[in-house]
Amino acid sequence: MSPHDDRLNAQRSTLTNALAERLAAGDAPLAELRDLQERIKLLDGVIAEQATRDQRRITALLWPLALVGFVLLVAASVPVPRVPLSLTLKASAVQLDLAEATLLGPLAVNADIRVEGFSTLESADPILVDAAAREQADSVSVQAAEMRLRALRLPAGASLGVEARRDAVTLLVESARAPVIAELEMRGTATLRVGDGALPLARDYPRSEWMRLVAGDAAKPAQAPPLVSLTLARRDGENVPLQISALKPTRLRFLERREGAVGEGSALASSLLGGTLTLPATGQTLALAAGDGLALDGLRPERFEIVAGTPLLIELSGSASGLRQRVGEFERSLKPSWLEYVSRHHLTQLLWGSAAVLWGALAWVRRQIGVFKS
Amino acid sequence: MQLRLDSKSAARLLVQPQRSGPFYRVDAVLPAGQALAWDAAPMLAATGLRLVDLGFLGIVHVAASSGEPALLAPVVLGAAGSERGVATAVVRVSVAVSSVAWRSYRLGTGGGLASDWVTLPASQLFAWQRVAVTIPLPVDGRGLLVDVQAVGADDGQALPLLRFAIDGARNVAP
Repeated sequence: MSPHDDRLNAQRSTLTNALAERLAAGDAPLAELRDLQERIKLLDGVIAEQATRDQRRITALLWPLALVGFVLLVAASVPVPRVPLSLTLKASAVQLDLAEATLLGPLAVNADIRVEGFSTLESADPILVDAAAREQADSVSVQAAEMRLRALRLPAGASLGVEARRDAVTLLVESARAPVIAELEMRGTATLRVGDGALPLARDYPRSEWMRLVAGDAAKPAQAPPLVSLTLARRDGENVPLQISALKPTRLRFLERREGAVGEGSALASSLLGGTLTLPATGQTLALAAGDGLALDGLRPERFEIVAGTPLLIELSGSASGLRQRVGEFERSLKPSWLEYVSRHHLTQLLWGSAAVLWGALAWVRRQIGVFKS
Repeated sequence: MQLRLDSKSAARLLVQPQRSGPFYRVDAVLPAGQALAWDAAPMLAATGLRLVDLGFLGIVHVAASSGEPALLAPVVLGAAGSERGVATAVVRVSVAVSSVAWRSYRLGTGGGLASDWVTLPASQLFAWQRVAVTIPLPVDGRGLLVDVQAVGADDGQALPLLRFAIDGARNVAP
């Protein structure tokens, strides 16, 4: 309260006391009483108007500070839409969603291959084609001196799972659209089993031979094909990992199905075995422990590689729109807020910008105080 | 010079020298059943190339996402009514190889009935060297699938098969 207000209030108090005394005396002329009352009314009007003006000035003083506070609150609460990241980890399984049609291969696999889930087998070797037609085979196992996964063709929207076991790597393809196509090449002495009930076929391919396994009907792309699995079984004493690159996953999950005790069935659990997640936006480096949950959505990978040995080694750099870590029951988003992002990446601009905003706010406050004093 | 396709489909015509230089390239659309007149003399005079240095490729469609091999159409030089004889495919290897072999089978058979592998003579090649594969075309005008296989000179491992299809004017769609 200003001295000006104090004087007005003191004056009003004096007049009120005088009016009360003069009324109590009982002999005061009516004109004098009316004069006192009129003065009190005038003072009330001035005091009320002064109070309203003060209220407005206080409000005007507060709003720039409130605005700065609000902006800071929003910037500290709202996460950035995309977060750049770099990820290196070990896992026993990974699931990738592939938004675009994808071609994987050619890959020299140096392993025995088993493919399940196809509906058509094509090859230049008529014995294989006949065997597949006779057995109505949906599976084939191939052992050959040289093996190559010539191509694994996945339609847009397919999901690819990669699982590593001690003795094999399995690729699982789930797609809502057809066809899913696996093309193999083999060379040398080969043993093939076309269909599960058939006898093994011994073949010799001094030059290469190809096999094309088609799941689903290419003429009916909307008809979902069955689950296709490719198992690449390591040979005794050999552990040459399969290198998978050039994939563009949009979503990553690290889950595996673990068998429970007898009668309990199976349950999904984290397949993570450990790793490091670096977030350049905040300068954070997070250690991921075995069993932690990690989910990445809206990925735009610049580099993505899987070395499918035992375990899988995964390297990823790019950006994601969703990044969540789960430890036990506790789940949190790892995306930084705008404030963290700006403070990390635009520190100089942030300092100058903050200084300018604060200077403006203080200048406003000083001006209001000056008006208030005058 | 008249260029025409031995195919009932239109194709993209690609003309390139079969040598590393000078770089020259022609892209054109070659309609089915129509001849394209092309005067190569100015280009040959300007580049110093000979007509035999040029390769002519008709691309009906490139390898699709379904994995079907690229469908190529032989380009016939000269007047209409020439005998259908052989197609010459020029293959260039990207690594040193110890041998190159090829085989063919009828288009539309879904594989099977492949010819025996024919190993090309003098096919031990340096990286980026070319070799010509002379492929007899079926006299009935049908198409062919061709597999070309090469064995790496360094490790003796087979390289991925090169597979392509040759269209024919009386080809039956697979």
